[in-house]
Order: sequence, then C-alpha cells, then structure tokens
Amino acid sequence: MESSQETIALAGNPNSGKTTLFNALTGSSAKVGNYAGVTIDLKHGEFHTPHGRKLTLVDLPGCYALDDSSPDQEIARAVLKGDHEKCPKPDLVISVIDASNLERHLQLTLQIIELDIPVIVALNMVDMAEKSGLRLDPVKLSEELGVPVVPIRADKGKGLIELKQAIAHPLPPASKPHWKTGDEKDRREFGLNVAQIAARRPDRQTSSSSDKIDAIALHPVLGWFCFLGIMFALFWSIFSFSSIPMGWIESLQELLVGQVEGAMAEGDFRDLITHGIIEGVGAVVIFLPQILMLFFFIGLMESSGYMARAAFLMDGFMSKVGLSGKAFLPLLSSYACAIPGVMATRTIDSAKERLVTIFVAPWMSCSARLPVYLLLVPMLLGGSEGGVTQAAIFMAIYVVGTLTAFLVARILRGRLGPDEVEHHFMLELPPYRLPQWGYIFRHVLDRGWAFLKNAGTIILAIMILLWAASTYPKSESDDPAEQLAHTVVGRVSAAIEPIVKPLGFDGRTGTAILTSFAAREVFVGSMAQLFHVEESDEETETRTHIRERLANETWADGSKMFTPAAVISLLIFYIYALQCLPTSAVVAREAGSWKWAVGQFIFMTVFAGVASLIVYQTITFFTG
Amino acid sequence: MEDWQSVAAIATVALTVIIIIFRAKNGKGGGGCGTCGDGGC
Repeated sequence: MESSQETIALAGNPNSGKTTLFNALTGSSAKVGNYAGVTIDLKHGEFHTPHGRKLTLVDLPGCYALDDSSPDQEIARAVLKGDHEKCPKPDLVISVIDASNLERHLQLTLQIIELDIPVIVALNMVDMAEKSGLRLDPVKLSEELGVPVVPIRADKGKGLIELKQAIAHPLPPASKPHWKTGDEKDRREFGLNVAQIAARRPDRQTSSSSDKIDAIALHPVLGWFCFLGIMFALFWSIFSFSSIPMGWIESLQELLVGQVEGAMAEGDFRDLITHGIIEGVGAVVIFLPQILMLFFFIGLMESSGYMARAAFLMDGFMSKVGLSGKAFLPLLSSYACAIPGVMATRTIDSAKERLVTIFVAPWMSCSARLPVYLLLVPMLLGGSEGGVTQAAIFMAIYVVGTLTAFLVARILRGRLGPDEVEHHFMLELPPYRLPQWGYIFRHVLDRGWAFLKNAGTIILAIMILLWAASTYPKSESDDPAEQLAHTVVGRVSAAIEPIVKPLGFDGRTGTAILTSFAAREVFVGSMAQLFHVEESDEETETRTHIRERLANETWADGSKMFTPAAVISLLIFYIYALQCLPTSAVVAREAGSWKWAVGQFIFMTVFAGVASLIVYQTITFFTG
Repeated sequence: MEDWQSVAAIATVALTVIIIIFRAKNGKGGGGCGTCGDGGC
C-alpha cells in the first residue's frame, strides 16, 4: 500500500538556525533572526530528496527542553509526541544543533531520541565553532548518540545535499537511548560526556571577536551609549537617506496629476482622481523610503546578533518593572508592528506576564506611526528636514512610548500579583555574524510591498470615501470654506470641534484622527485632503506643501492653528492611541477574550486623549 | 461635460462602499497597518 507523504520535523533550541534551514530546504522566506524566539508557530513546507521523494517539512518553535510550559514550547512538545490536532506525529526529526553550544543543545536531542522517533542531527555552524577553537568530531558524536550526524552551514546552503541523502528510504529506525530513559540527571551527564568527547575545547580559553565586541556592547555604561548611538544613527539615517527617493515619488505624483488634468476637463471625477486619490494616497506612499529604511535597519540588527544584546541590556531594567527579559523581544518586535509583537508573547511562560506584555505592546511606536511622525516632527522645526535635532525628537518620541509602556506594565503587574510558579529567563547570546543580505533585502521588499498593497486597498478606499464626505452634499456657494462646511465632513467637524478643541485641534484635524482609527497612516492622507483649500489653482501639491498649508492655517480669530503646543499634542495622541483594528483582533485571539481587546482599546484611546489635553493645556498655560 | 464626471464620481464611491461591505462579509475587512507583512496584518 502506498503510504501518504512523510512528515519531517525540524526541532532545536531557540536560535539554532532551524528556520534558516527550513528556508534553505523549502525555498521559503519565513522570518529568521539572530536571536531566540523568532519562530512562535508551526510552519509547513515541502522539499524533495535527491531521489525525488517529496517530504513535508514542519518547522517547530525553538525550545530548550520538552517539559517547558510557554505556549510556543507546548506546540513543539505536542507535535513531537503526536498530540497536535493539526499536525501528524513526525516520521523523522531533524534535530538542529548549534555546534558552538553542543552541551546545552544536546539535551533536547536526547529527549527527542527518548520519544522513539528516528532522529538525524544537523550540526549547524560547524565552521564558526571551529574558528572559535573547538575541535569537532561528527563521526564520534554519531557513534555516541546512535543517530546520523550531518555537519551543515544552513545560511550558506552547505551540507544540505548530505542532509537530504541522510534521510534514507525507508526511514532509519529509532535509536535506542544509551542512558536511563526519563532520568534527567543521567541524561544530563550523558550529554555532557558526549559533548566532551565530540567537541574538544582548546586548553587556553581565547576570546573571540564576538567577546571583544561584547566587552563594549554589554558593558553596564558603554553598552547603553552604544545602544543609544545605534538608535540615534537609525533615526538620523531614516531622515537623511530618504530625501532622494522621496523626491522621485513626489515627481511621479506631480506627473500623474499633470497627466490627468491635461486629459480631463474640470469636474467631480477629475477632482476625485487628483485631490482624492493621487494626493491622499500619495501623501502616505511618499513615506515608503523611510519604511524600507526602518525595516532594513531592524533586519540588520536581527541578522547580526545585536538584537539579542539589546535584550540582554534591557533585562535588568525589565525586572524592575516586573517583566522578565522574555518580554523584551516581543516588545522589540512591536517597534516594527504590534501584531507579530503580540504573537511573539507566546514565548513567555507566565500567563500574567504575557497578558501585561500584550497590553502594553502597542505603545512601542510601530512603523505605521512613522508617516504621522514624519509629517509632524519637521513642523516643530520650521519645516526643515534632516539633522540632529530631528533625530533627537524622534528618539524622544520612541522613548516616551517605551517608558509609558514600562510604567503601566509595572502598575498592572503589581495588581495581577506574583506567579504561583517562578519562571526563569535564559537568553542565548549568539556570536555576531555577517548579515544575511539576501534575506534582509527580500524581507525589506516584502514589507515595502505590504505597505504599498495597503495603500492601494484600505487607504485608497478611505480616501475615496473621505473625498465623497468632503464633497457632498454640495452647496450653492462658490466659497470653498462654505462649501466644505456644508458637506458631511464639515458637519462632523463642527460637531466634534468642541470635544477636540481643548486638545488643540480643529474639527478637520479631529475628523482626520477619526479616519485613522482603521489604520494610523491614513491620518496623513486625510490631512492632505481636508486641508486642501482652493485658494490658488496650484494643483501640484507636494509633501512640503501639505506642511506649508498646515503651518499657514489659522483659527477664526486669526491666531495660528498648528502651534508647537498643538503639534506636540497631536504627536502625543499618536504615540498613545491604539488605532489599528487588526492589532485588536490579534489581542483578542492571543488573550483569549474580546474583553481584553476592547478594554485595551478604550484605555489607550482615553489615555491618549487625556495625555494630549494635559500636554496642550500645560504648554499653552506657560507659553500663553 | 460635468454631468458624466458627477455620475462617474458617485459610481466610484458606490463601488468602493460595495467592495468594503463585500470584503467585510467575507471576513476580509480591516486590512491593517500593512507594514508588518506577517500573517494577519
């Protein structure tokens, strides 16, 4: 009888290179990073052996042992024991081991062998381990364990053919453990002995280049300077290197508007295309270079191994707010987007700590806030872009969000009470590696494409609806201000102005905020549309012009509308408000209840409003 | 000339509303920040 397609599972400690191997074998581009806890769910793929046999490959979340209790490690355990409802028990397990950490990584391999499943050991990063002075003997390791051992270098694609050849047909039988099964002490001793036999360390401990870099990067004082310096360089680069591609996007936008105007007579449809769509969507798309830049730097830090150092630095600080270092990596992911951040909380063992981390994760300024910050921050500096001050303000914005998150986490953690079982945090500091450029560029392109796709769907739809709401019903008046007041937007603006005015905003800004509750970056497009007053017939609106228009906007009494106090108030609102529906949906799923998602949304919105109010009123009080 | 433009503009708006309702009914509403590129976003 023909058996169904066999399943091979990839198991290993966090950051052993499982996902890199998964990508190399299947040709996928699943997220990898040079730090622990990147894989938090099962990933499926397929590959062929050299003889053409098709196999299913499952990438399991990394775990140190099969008796840990965090949600991601429960998944790994369930699959290996055949208890997972959506994944069959694997026919063979490829246990990925980092050759530099044989002693520790072997423990999981031994536990898997105890499960009576055929195992192949993929000894990863062998050349790096040997460079650090280790003398490895894969043949000896194979003899001691009783399973095939294949040296590989997953990121360079080395040893993959040998690994595929080792998956013989029919699959090899499960190995018999050479230690007392189920006895942790005996297993540990056996693992240590095998590691000593198969990997001999040099007599004199030499410090590797990673150790030398870490002497500075992890130094209690210099480490923080290093961290802040890297963050500062990141923000400065985002401003400085993006101006040229932004200019290209602007020119394209102007060209499109010119083409449409040349081809069509004046009318509603032309207005919808130029002012509604090109200007509205363009106001968001123009920030694509900065988004790409941010993800490039995040990829660089993940891939090189610096992200794990950042987590290490923060560990001591985290414990002061009642969170462990395990909570830092999800929070760090949230700087890119809160959704993978919230999902990454699965690596946290303590249910209470996990809930608190989920609750505060959206306060890490995500990349969707970037367009809003990029529009507003230069307004504080008279419209100029680039420069050290701007980078410093940007850093301050990120610091404000992060510190508030920690403060609220501390309060919440105190209220939820201590855990019944004490959990420990173990963080692996991987050696620094040269970034995987191919992966970083693919990742940056993926994110850029996702950003553009969003601009072409949800933002486009909101811009069309907003155009309609700011155009209809039409009035007989020729005065643009009176015409706007007669429309739906004009009426909504008038209704909400008394509520948002104490925060420093007029009704149109309030309406732009309302439109951005679906997705934050919509705010930029909405502002471009709502503050488009037909005073002149200049149709080539650009990013600078949006800021100029906002800067020239006045209240009815002639006073300036976007004063520094009002701009800071807006920034504060966007730092704190939870304006992302998909995040709320993921929070509900991960926390297991919509109550948490709704409570979080209400709390953050109210918090944002109150913080804006206090900031605006305080600054106005002191500056008059 | 202006008439057909008004009709086209209103038709575009109506089509957008229909697409949004259709997508929401099929559980594809939301869209999200789109920048994370991972799963549900």
